[in-house]
Amino acid sequence: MADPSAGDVLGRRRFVLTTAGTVAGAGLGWPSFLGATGSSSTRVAPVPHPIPGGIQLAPGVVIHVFGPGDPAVTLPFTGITLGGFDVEPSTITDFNGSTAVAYHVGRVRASDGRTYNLETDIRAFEGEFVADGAVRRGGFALI
Amino acid sequence: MHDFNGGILPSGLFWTADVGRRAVEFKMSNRRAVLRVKDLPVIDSFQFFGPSDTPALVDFRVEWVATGSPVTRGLGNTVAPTDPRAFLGEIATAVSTASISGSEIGFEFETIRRATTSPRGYAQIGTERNGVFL
Repeated sequence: MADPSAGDVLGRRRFVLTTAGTVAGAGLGWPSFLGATGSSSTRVAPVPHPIPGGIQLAPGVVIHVFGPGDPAVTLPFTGITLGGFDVEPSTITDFNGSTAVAYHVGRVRASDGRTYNLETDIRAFEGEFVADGAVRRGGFALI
Repeated sequence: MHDFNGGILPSGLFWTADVGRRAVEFKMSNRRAVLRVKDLPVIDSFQFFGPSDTPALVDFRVEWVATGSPVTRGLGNTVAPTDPRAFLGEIATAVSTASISGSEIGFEFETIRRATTSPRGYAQIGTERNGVFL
């Protein structure tokens, strides 16, 4: 298992989107996600809406995500304690489907010759959601 | 430190990528799931909400297997929509493993063995509904 003293933390904040070269720190366009699984389509997908609640980082600053999980678990590298079992797993509102949440711990080998500790928050969502006034079906990942 | 993270849409949708239905497979009555993503565009912000971003691509395969029985979770519309319990679900504890690799200009990485949620992390799997589906 990972040793916190063995290397730098490869951050818990998971991967996510941007078309290469079009990074905008706090606002990436939805079409940037498309094609990530090999689709050659340039379609503009219907965009689900975020959950209305979330974690307040500062007065008036809310990120629309919660941290569901066993409140007895504190993640080893970030020191984040999970928020409890009765906590919304999804980031999508008007959603009806399957969800899976995982906070992994591990290590990675990097091209700079170093070994990094790894902590993740990866989630999968598959099911119905409402966008553009219609019920649609899709697959999403929080990463 | 490297921090591969998701963007936030103007709507506030947080780190959530449309990976397509084929990338997400739930089976065995939501007792198992697999998420497969290849070449997902992401950013490395080097710290949480860091001031600089580097484009990166990641591949990963994540598997979940339920270890417990589903338990009813959430309080639905008996609480405010902003409440973390504003959903209804049937959720089981689980174990999960992940193989992850990624690259950006001048830096590549891959997991040494599979990252796991046991014993120091956590995983769950199940079904839920929220919003207009309550």
